[in-house]
Amino acid sequence: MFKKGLIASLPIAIGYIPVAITFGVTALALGFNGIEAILASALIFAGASQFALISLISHSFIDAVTIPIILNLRHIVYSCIVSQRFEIRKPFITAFGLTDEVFATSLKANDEMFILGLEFGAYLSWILGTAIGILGGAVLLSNETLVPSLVFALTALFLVLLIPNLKGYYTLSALIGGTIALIFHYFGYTSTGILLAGVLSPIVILKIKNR
Amino acid sequence: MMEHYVAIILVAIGTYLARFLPIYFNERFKRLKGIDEFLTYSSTALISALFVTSLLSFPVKLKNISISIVALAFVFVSYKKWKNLGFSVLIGVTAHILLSFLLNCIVCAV
Repeated sequence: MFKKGLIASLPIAIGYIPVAITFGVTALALGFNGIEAILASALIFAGASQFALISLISHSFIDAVTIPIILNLRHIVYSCIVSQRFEIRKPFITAFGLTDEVFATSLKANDEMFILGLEFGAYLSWILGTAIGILGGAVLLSNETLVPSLVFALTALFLVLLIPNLKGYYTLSALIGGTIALIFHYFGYTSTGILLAGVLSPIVILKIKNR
Repeated sequence: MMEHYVAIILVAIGTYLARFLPIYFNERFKRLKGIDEFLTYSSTALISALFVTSLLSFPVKLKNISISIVALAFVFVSYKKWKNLGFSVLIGVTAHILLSFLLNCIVCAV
């Protein structure tokens, strides 16, 4: 199952590498050294938070620490969902790699080893991308056609994961969740929107069902 | 700078705890009535939210969104036909690259 998870992490890796390259390049541009950039990817392993950290630290240390953590509060919901699906025997390891994309793909899993394979593949690509970014990513990022297409892999992945869910009340849940996220995304509060989508949408659906 | 290392470690700890604590205390969540149903709807809503926010960025650029929507049509059709996650994503990425290249050529020609 670990191997299956590793293979399933390929679409995630395709999307992660260009984003991680961008992170490596941006971190250097904002005054971080190569070791710090790699350390951030290796220890945090959360894209949006890492970008928030490196961009905020020159303004305020407190903001640079609190805002990335607030951005990651949505992971509480992810972990709740994953832990209810099957027994997690290695919570200390499994919890570490539960990113947005790993969570979404793990919903197809029924075994912890599959998730660990997913996490391992995604993590390696994230570290590799950051290293490439540090060593010379600026040259790669200059290709304006290739980078957005590779990042598109993540959108395609989410669509493929969404399709089997579009039945009955789940379609309504997807519509409500998507709308909530879109509104918050428009106003620049993407992470809050995702978190609220995961909390408010099921509340609305259960209210409608139990009426 | 020491400040960078401290910030990285604090964010890493905060992120890890957000991921770890709900798994560690999952037995308490299991005792909550109706939690299974709540979480299944929640997971669908979350995937939808992740999809929408990864697809759109503001201000919306017509060229970018058009390419993405056509590429997503390829993803949708290939998934419906073959039910293979990785293959469908690769088809989508390939379509996206080709469409971007094609549109750039048209823009250059005009």
